[in-house]
Amino acid sequence: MNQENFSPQESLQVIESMIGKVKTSYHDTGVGPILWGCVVTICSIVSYFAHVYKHPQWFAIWLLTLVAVVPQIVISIKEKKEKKFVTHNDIVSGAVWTTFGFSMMVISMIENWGRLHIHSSIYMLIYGIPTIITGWVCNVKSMIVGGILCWVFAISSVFVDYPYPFLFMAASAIAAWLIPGLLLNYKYRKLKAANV
Amino acid sequence: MFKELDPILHSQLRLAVMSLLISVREAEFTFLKEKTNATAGNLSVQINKLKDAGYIDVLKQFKDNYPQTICKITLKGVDAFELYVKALQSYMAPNTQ
Repeated sequence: MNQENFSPQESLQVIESMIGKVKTSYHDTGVGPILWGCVVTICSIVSYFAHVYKHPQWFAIWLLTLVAVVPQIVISIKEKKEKKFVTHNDIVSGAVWTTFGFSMMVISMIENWGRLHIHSSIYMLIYGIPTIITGWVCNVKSMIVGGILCWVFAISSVFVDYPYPFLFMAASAIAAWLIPGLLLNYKYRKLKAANV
Repeated sequence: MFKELDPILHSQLRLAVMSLLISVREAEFTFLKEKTNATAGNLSVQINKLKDAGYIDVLKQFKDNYPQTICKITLKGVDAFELYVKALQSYMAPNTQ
């Protein structure tokens, strides 16, 4: 396959055939969703019975979610090794599920510290999610850093009382949006000036 | 009027590589070889031509003690591919151009 004299129809056939080959090259095994579907179903049902039969110690079943992280990591590494290409969907779903997983972990930590009433920390945690996903998918490092800082401020703010969490919120907004926004705007102006 | 076809892309193997790379974020050399049914030597030559044109980035690294080559389309490559497809369309339906 390397003829230079081929028709436009043949060109289109090559393009169509290659794009089709990528589409049929990989299918998700579904093992991850099955694992988490089972774990969360079991934990939720056991929690229901823990509440009904007044056995608070049964709520410890949720520790199973921590145990399930181990096979999930093994599955992810195995699937990554077997896959010879990375799709755009992989990047998006990787960013979404990683930020989701980390957020769940932080919420559990805050709940265990008995500080879930510091609502601003939850808001900062949520600020971080789309910021990191956008930075990850669009390859904007300042947004990734800003999103991580949001999470750092979210965790830090649970150790102080109102009104100080609002100052952490201001710092989150500066780190997640204002600074990346200014950097993007500077880059945009520079590109615009170069293209004039 | 027929538009000129980019000579870098108007080669079956190079076009096949670019079509694969436009569909993914990045791909290993072995994946490209498997999907195009090309020989390693020929594929390597064509990949270098695409790299020299600035259409793809090639990253050589080690994975589990084995050499690994990762290819990724560049923004210039995406633009060139889009122009190539537009030019092809002028051949398909010349009366509408």
